[in-house]
Order: sequence, then structure tokens, then C-alpha cells
Amino acid sequence: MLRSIWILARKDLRLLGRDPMSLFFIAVFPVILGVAFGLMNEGFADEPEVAEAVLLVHDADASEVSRDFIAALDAQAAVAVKRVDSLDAGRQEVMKGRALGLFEIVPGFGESAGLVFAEKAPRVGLAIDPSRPAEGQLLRGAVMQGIGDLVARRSPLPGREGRALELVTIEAIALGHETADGAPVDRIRSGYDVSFPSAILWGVLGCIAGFAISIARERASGTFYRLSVAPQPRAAILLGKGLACALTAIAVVLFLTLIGCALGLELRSPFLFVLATLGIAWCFSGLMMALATISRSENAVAGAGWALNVTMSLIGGGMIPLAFMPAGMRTLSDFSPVKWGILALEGAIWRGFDLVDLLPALGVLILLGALGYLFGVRRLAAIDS
Amino acid sequence: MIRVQALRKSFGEVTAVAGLDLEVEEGEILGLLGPNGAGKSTTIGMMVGVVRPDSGSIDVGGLGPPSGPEARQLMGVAPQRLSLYEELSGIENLRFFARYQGVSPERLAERVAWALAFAGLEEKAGKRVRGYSGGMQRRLNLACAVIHEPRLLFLDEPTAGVDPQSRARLFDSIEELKATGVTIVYTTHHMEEAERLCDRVAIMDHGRILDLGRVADLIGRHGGASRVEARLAAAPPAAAVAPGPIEGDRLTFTSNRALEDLLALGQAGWQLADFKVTQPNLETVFMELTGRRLRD
Ligand SMILES: Nc1ncnc2c1ncn2[C@@H]1O[C@H](COP(=O)(O)OP(=O)(O)OP(=O)(O)O)[C@@H](O)[C@H]1O
Ligand SMILES: [Mg+2]
Repeated sequence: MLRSIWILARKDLRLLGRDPMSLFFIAVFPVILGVAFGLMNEGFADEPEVAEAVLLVHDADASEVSRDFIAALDAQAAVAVKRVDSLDAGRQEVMKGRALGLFEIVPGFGESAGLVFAEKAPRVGLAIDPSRPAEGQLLRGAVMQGIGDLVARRSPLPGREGRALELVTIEAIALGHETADGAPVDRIRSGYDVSFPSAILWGVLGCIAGFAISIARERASGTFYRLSVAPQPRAAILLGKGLACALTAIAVVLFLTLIGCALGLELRSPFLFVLATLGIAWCFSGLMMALATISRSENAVAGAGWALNVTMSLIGGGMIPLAFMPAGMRTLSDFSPVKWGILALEGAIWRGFDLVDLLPALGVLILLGALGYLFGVRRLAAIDS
Repeated sequence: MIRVQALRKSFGEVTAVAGLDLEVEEGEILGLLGPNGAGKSTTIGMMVGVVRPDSGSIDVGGLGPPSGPEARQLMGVAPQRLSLYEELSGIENLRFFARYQGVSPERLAERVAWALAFAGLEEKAGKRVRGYSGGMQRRLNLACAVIHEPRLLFLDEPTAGVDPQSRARLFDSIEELKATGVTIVYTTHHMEEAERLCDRVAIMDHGRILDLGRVADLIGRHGGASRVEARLAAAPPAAAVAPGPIEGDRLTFTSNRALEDLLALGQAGWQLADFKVTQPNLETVFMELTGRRLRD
């Protein structure tokens, strides 16, 4: 059985190697996407309507002024404030995608903030989830506005409101990567860190479309018939395809990651990256099975594959970053394996996940993959070829 | 070698096979002869275990239904649709199907070389199948079916879409296989093929076998008389009784003793410019059994 699956998979990989169109969508197109969006990532400056963003606040000042300030921030429509006990805990949360930003109030804030004639402008720190730069701008705006209000209250001089900037220094809090000597790097990441996980998922989607169509093609031509008569278990035919698809998906992930690394992407946890890659390969090869057996017509499978890929990608954040979605749609995204695939990759690449953090995403990927395999194999057994 | 009983299969409203009994002896070539839609391919599909019968039973070589692994070990099939990977070369197709159909690695090279020679494709072995002619593809389709040396071979219209030369080659190949003792089930709607290759022929229509037997026996049972067509060189002699209708200068009649009848006409003073005697064949048998021609 294993030997026959391998014989089939090898044949499929050879066929794929001779199909320039599929190769383009699996390997070239995602690179273009990854690079293009990587370059554009800085440029997202629109202010879309978004759901409330969680801002973590670490208040080391704990003065009345700082408390008021935080309350005022919380009152703003776009921001929900959550307190954290230490800066480090806050960093972790942001990196793992559980909060949009981290705001730090240093001791002494209450004494000088908003006072025009203070000797030294007080310092605050702000960190923003790098994968959500556009929302980050909102957050930055909210902080500025809070300080503006503070100025208006404490130094009610006409004409001063707009000059909050001079009155407070907003410093970036380093989030992630540390340099060799242990000091946090200020700019934690390249735009490719964000764009490549989605690009990789696009490559994987190209993979499942290609292989699903190839199953339909084998059923439409007679090769599937011939394989069914051979003295091998019928399930081997599908599992051979699944193996070829999974191997191709793994190759796509590795290939794109290598290109990303050449451009400046950094892999924080190779081990988790391997787990994420395997999870993705399993999940999407399983979905491929399900997709491939919905119809025996090549065109029907191609059409359904396209629709499925676009939908999964759309609601999963492969097209529009999740941050730009209305809240309802973002809930929907939990159903898209693309979201979990991206999250797993991000976790390994820059979010600094540990194994426990990765488990939910990995679990969803494994579950969806298993459902796909089950559906595909059962469906194939139930119909005449 | 294979025994089929009361086999039925419908696709929705269409009854493709409507109660079919058949027994194929070891070493014979059995032909399934019938027009398009007669149910030949569906019957083969059920016999090889790819199409699930609605009812009825199939036993392959005493090993049970064709879905079992031992039974499948015995079988090879050349489907009606060309079942090849077009983007692989001929030799890659052969290697792949050989491996998948269980040829051991030690014998692989030998079997592939044999199959290439069998199909006459040595020179094109490394070229992609997409570029093969129809005849070459058919030959490869057959070679892939026999590369693992099956004892029971199903050939579903193995000559579809090939020129007479390629067809003759295929006939030779099939006879070569028969000589090695392979049992063959062969479908076609060409009566000449059935007459030339098959030991026994089953006439099929509408999912049923109308009759089954050796070609000569079938013709004896259903062929009826020979048909004679003569062109008259002059008007019939006065008072002569014509053995059949005359249209213009054409006289046609049927007879079991055509030569004697023609001689008798000459003696009676008929002047014939030309004549043609058509002996009954499977076409006539089919017409007799169904009231239709094999191919319209
Ligand atoms: N998968 C299918 N779905 C629906 N109808 C089918 C299917 N396969 C065969 N049929 C129908 O069953 C009948 C018998 O078809 P079959 O292919 O067995 O005939 P055949 O004798 O092989 O004809 P041909 O000479 O054209 O190959 C036809 O009416 C055909 O339309
Ligand atoms: Mg047919």
C-alpha cells in the first residue's frame, strides 16, 4: 500500500513538473504577491472603519492624571483599554496577536503631562502589532488625541490644543527580535514578515486547485479506471494524490520562506515552523481531496476550486488583512483554514509563539484536514468511477 | 474464467444492462458485438469491478467478485477511452502502470522492453504521448493493459479510431496474446473484427445478449439465405419466371444455393452482364435479431 501510494505520488509530481501553468500559480505568482505586498505594507494609510482595538496599558505612574488619561482613552470609540502588570506581559500579548498595541506610561507622567511649562516633556511608549499598521495609526491618533485633551484641561491656553506633539514624546517600544547583544531592535521586522505568510498560503491554494483538477482529469480520462482495476486498494489512488499534494505544499512553503528570508524575513522558531508547515500540508491536501471528489467534471472542479479558494482566502485574511474587516466577518474568518495557516506561520516567523500558543491553529488545521480526507475517500468509495 | 449471472445496471432512467448471463472459457476470445449504447462498456466495467452492478453476480476464475485483490491480480483492461498520461512519454506510462499493477522491480526493465516491442513503439518511447498518432496511442493503451501479464484481459473497442494498417497490427498483437493462452473479452461494433478474432460472439443490444455462439453457428441460425444481385445484359426471356424483383436492369433474390440458381437462369436463356453473391454474415445476423443495422 505504501509503495503504491509512493508510486502514484511520484508520477503526480512528475506530471506537475510538466505543467507550467500550475507551477506558475503554485510557485511564481505567490512570490510576486509576497514581494509586492511586502513593499506596499508601509503604505497602508487609509483609515478604515474597524472594530474596537484592544490597547494594553501599563501604568507605571499610577497617578490621578494617568488614571484619568487612561479612562479618557478607553472612552474613545475605537479603543478598548486593558491593563497589564508588566511591560513584558504586554509585549507578549501584542506579539501573539491578542492585542493591537501596548501603551506605556512612565513614572512622572502625572507631574508634567499636559503642562505647557513643564521643564521636560514626559515620555510615553507605544508599540503596535506590526501586521496591523493601518489600525496602528488609529491607535496612535487616539493617544495623541488623549494628550491633546489633557493639554486642553491642564493648560487651557487658546491655540495650544493642536500642539500636543511637542508636549509628549512618544517612543516606540521594541516588541520582538533581539539583537545578538540582547538589546531589542527598534524596527522589529520587515514588511515581508507580514506579506509572506499570506503569499505562502496563496501558493498552497494554487496547489490544491491543481491537484484537485488532476484527480478530476484522471476520472474524466480513463486513467482512474485503469488504476481502479489494478490490484491495489482503491484508497491508494486518493492517498497518492494527497501525498503528492502535501509534498508540493511543503515545497511551496519552504521555497517561499527561503525567498522571504533572502529579502529579510527572519524565522524565530524553526521547530514551530516545521510543525506549522506540516499542519498546513495536511490540512490543505485533505481539503483538496474533498474538493476533487465533488464532481467528475474537470471544469466543475476547477470552478469550485476557484470559488473555494477565493472564499477561504477572502474571509481568512489572505486578501484583505483581518484588521480591515468588519467584526462580523472577522468572526467568520475562524472558519477559514487560511486564517489558521497564516496564524501558524506568523507564530513561527515573528509572533514568538511557543508550542502552546500554536496548538489552537494546529488543531484546527489537523481537524479540517482529517475531515477533508474522510469526505474524499468516502465519497470516492460511494460512487462508480 | 469469468462467469456472470443475472447482471443488471441502470443509470437513472437508462437501463444499460438488463439481465445478462455469460460465461467465458479459459483461453478463448469472446466478442461482445453490439451497436453504440448496447451496454458493452457497462458490462466490462462491472466485470472488472469498476462499475457497481445493481444486482447479479460475477465470479472471476473461482476467486469471487472482481473487487477482490486476488481476482484483480488476474485482470488487465484496455478501456475504451484512452487511459494514458499524455504529458508522460510512452516509456514513462509503461513503467508507471507496470509498477502500479505489481510488476516487481527486477522484472520491470524486461517487461517494459517487451511492451515497447509489442506496441511497436521503440522509436517513440521517449516522446510524450500527447504527440502520438491515434494508432500509436491505441497500441500503447493495449500495452499498458498487458504489461503485468494478466491471464484475463478486457479490451473495450481496442481499435476505435485507428487506420486499417494500425488495426492490422493490433489484430496481430491480440492474436499473439491469445497464443499465450490469455482469455480475452473483446467488445466491438465491427462485425469483421468479431468474425476474424473471436472464438465466440455474443450479440448485444439494449443491455441484453440476444444470442451467443461460434460465428458460423450464429450465421447458420440467423443468417438465412445468401443474397444475389444480378445485372441483366438483355431483357429477360419471354415467359420466364423471375426468381425475384427486377428494377430496371437489376434482378435481386435470395437463395441457399446461389450458384445452382444462377446456372439455371443461364440455361433458361437469361443473359447476365454481372452478378454478386453476398453470403450472410454477422451483420445479417444482427439485422435478423434486432431489425436494425449494426451501425447507422
Ligand atoms: N456513467 C453513466 N451515466 C449515465 N448513463 C450511462 C453511463 N454509462 C453508460 N450510460 C448509458 O448506458 C447505456 C449503455 O452504455 P455503454 O457505454 O455501456 O454502451 P456501449 O455498448 O459501450 O456503447 P459504445 O459502443 O458507444 O461504447 C447508454 O445508453 C449510455 O448512455
Ligand atoms: Mg463502449
